Amino acid sequence: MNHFTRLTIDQAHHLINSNQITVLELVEYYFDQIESSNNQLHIMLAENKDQAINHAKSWDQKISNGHKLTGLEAIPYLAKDMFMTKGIATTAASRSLADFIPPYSSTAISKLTKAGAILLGKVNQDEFAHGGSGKYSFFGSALNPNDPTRVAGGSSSGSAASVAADYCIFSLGTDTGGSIRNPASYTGTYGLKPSYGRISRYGVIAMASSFDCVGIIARSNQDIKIVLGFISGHDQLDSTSLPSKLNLNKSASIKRIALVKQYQERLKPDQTKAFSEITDQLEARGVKVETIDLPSLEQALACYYILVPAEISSNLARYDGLRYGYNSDQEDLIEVYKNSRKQGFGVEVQRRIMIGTYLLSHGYYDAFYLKANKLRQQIQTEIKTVFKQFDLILSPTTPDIAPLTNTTSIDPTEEYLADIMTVVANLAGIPAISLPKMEISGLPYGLQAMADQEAEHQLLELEDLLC
Amino acid sequence: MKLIPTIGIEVHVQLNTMSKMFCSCRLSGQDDSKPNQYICPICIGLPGTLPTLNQKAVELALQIGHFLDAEIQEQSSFDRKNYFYPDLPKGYQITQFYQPIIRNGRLTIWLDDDNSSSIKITEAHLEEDAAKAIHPEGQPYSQIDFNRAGAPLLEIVSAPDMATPEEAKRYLTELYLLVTSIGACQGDMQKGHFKFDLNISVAEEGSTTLGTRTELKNLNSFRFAKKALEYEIDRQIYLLSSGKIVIQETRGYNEAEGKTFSQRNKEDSDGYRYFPEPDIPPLDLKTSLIDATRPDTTSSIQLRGLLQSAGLSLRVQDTILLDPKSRLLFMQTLAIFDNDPAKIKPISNWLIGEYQTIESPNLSASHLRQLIELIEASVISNNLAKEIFPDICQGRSPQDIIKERGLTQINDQSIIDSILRQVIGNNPEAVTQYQSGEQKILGFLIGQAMKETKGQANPQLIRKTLVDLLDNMLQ
Repeated sequence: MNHFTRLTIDQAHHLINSNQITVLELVEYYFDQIESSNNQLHIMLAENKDQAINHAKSWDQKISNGHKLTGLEAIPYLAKDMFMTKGIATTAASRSLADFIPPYSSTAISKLTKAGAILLGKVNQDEFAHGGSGKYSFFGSALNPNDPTRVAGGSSSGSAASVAADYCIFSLGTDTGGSIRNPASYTGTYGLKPSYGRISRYGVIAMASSFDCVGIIARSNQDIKIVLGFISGHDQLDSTSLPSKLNLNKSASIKRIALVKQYQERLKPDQTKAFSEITDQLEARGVKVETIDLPSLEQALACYYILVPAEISSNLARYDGLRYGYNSDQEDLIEVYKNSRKQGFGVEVQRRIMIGTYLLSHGYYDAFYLKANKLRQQIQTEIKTVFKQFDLILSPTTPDIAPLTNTTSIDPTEEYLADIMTVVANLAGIPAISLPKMEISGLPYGLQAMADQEAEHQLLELEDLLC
Repeated sequence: MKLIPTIGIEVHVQLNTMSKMFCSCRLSGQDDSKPNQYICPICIGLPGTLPTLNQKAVELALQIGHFLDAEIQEQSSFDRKNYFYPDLPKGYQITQFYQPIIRNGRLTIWLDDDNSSSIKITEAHLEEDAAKAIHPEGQPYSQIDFNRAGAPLLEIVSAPDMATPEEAKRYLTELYLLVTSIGACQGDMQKGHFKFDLNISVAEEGSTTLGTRTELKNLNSFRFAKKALEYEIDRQIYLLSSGKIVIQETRGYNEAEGKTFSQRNKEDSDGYRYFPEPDIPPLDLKTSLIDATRPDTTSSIQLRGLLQSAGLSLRVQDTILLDPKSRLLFMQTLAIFDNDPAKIKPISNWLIGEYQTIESPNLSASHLRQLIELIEASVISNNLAKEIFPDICQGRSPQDIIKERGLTQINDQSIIDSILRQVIGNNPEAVTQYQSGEQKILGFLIGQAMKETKGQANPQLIRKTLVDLLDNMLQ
């Protein structure tokens, strides 16, 4: 343990502002951390070392002139490789973009740059964010810092693992069906998926546009709040971004919490026990906890795995090797298309493109896409009704703790089951958070809370009831 | 059996906006010849980019919709049309498939002075243009110019309502006139501002079902459209009457050979995997907003109506309407006459004659008004006006020319009287002929009087005075 270990934003600012450490020392600490374990954990895809060190030095210069750090100034962070970073390779952990260097930055990255945060580099993930383990990366699987025989979760594997491994203070991830909350649960970090549209998607590689959310992974609830404050807001470049402003000062009052029967039934005894300790604690604090029946959630996963691949099949069409990215280098156009995509995409990406293409094909659109879309609307309506009576829906984030790397199933549908408790928030567009509040066999196990549309302030108050 | 053709037309109108459909790139610049200069991450489809709808394009679509008497849809939305092609950077085109912005319009076309027909517009939808693929001759590569990628288009789809190539040509002309006259389209056909696909089938007369259709794609000339249709109809009729079948396919038109040729078997909408575009929220147009975009510009439809009401022939109407310069001059001149309907005919008369033969005329609305007013006030005669018209078309004011040449019309009754007495005295034979009932000789005598005055006498006054004088002599 030294000064630097597992700092939060406020702690880092305090140490720097009181001249106990410099920004350069802090940044160097993180690169040392990376140096010491990244070979084993495979978290980093690109290091932005020279720029980060220069950035740190310029902050130290300002500090020596009497400047006191506030907000996100000089705070080192990492970003999932879905975020466009001008001049820094952005690969989506895919061979198809292995050499892609974007000429522009995403809105979220630009806002952090403007806020003075220091980008240390880009981190590993499942290819194009398809997966829940981190193993579908072209560059190798990021592992769980708590137990490297286990997966880090996914798809934001590197984002969660980097915070858990103390490579940065916070990280950016994306969440389409649980991709922030799942690895947060597995790594013992805080992971927020805000309301759909809360943070601009501009400059973030699209997976399933009507589900994708930019989110934050950090070591404290407070840090999530701070970062959210800086990167949320309407963006003219993202027509689906929320017009309303985030207001975390709204007084939150968590009085009634719903548990979902359909989730409870899936838990094993250990998980049930850990979870009931949480609910007991809440009840002891005067919160009413009730179990409710949401039968449509039985179909949520099916609904999700129809709509998401459909959007994926279209969103990934642009990676054809013609203008940028991996090109199979052949004479014939059709061969270039076929082979660039066959060789550029991994197995899970190809699977989802195939499923999505099939689902949108003539004759299947009505039977699958339209039906699933209706179901999505029904789920949205049901969830809305729940929040008329309850402030939060509470459950574990994942059915289990992080699986061992060598036990992950070869049946993809079994893997998809791990998303059962997370996909609903994306189907409904509501905010959800995973808090590191449970442990099973000494390993972290996340607690998920979902709140009503745009009610992030409710999610961020739960922490106070559990201390 | 008699085989009857049926024609339906899809027109792609490039909307006259400053920027592209979904990004802020300039639509076109001073120098369009330089490829890939009006591009950005959005219109070349880089990862992570998102479309933002151009509001001006929506407004222009609404304006066109109003003039087509169409139902503007309060609710419309965008969809993705998925296919792979090098000129399509995202692997899909953003269009409106399920809920177009405009439905059920119509456009009246005139086949001659007495016969019109109302062509039904099934729908019109907003979409983005693709890039331009260039295939350099003899080179083992192709190139893509993205300047055009993302240009805003309104695709106007007609019902299969036309029966002849001439009718199709009239429809295209009328639609072109409409969108250019209201400023919704710049109308440069060479730059592809107005492109069309023609759907043709033939079927037995009286048949309730249409025959198998072919599609002639990507034409941009009215004349060639007509020729291509004529060829294609003959081809289909020949096939069917010799017991063969028409294959549903896309065909091109070879202008040099005057023939259509097979391009590819038509992959119909089934292959495009249309689904709602998740990056653009549905368009929710409130009625008030729709009304606010009801333009006060004068459209070609209104102009044609004005010309018709003045009793002008279809040929005259077309001469004025089809030439943007004449059309504009007509509108401007009528406007400074406070839209006086009595002025439609005189203005038109000046625009259809010699004016059309003058190369790059420089005639302003105020000069044309002056000219018409000078004639009406009998300051100059019609003949005189015609004489000085070429000079007016060089940008000179009629007043100046008249002053300079001393051409003011003679309206003084006493001067006219004395000139006519002189003419009568000089031409006793003609007078005798007139008195014996030969009315035609009157023209000769008027001519003599005009000659005496170097054409400056008011011809009406001359005629009237002459008749009076001669009649008096008889009594």
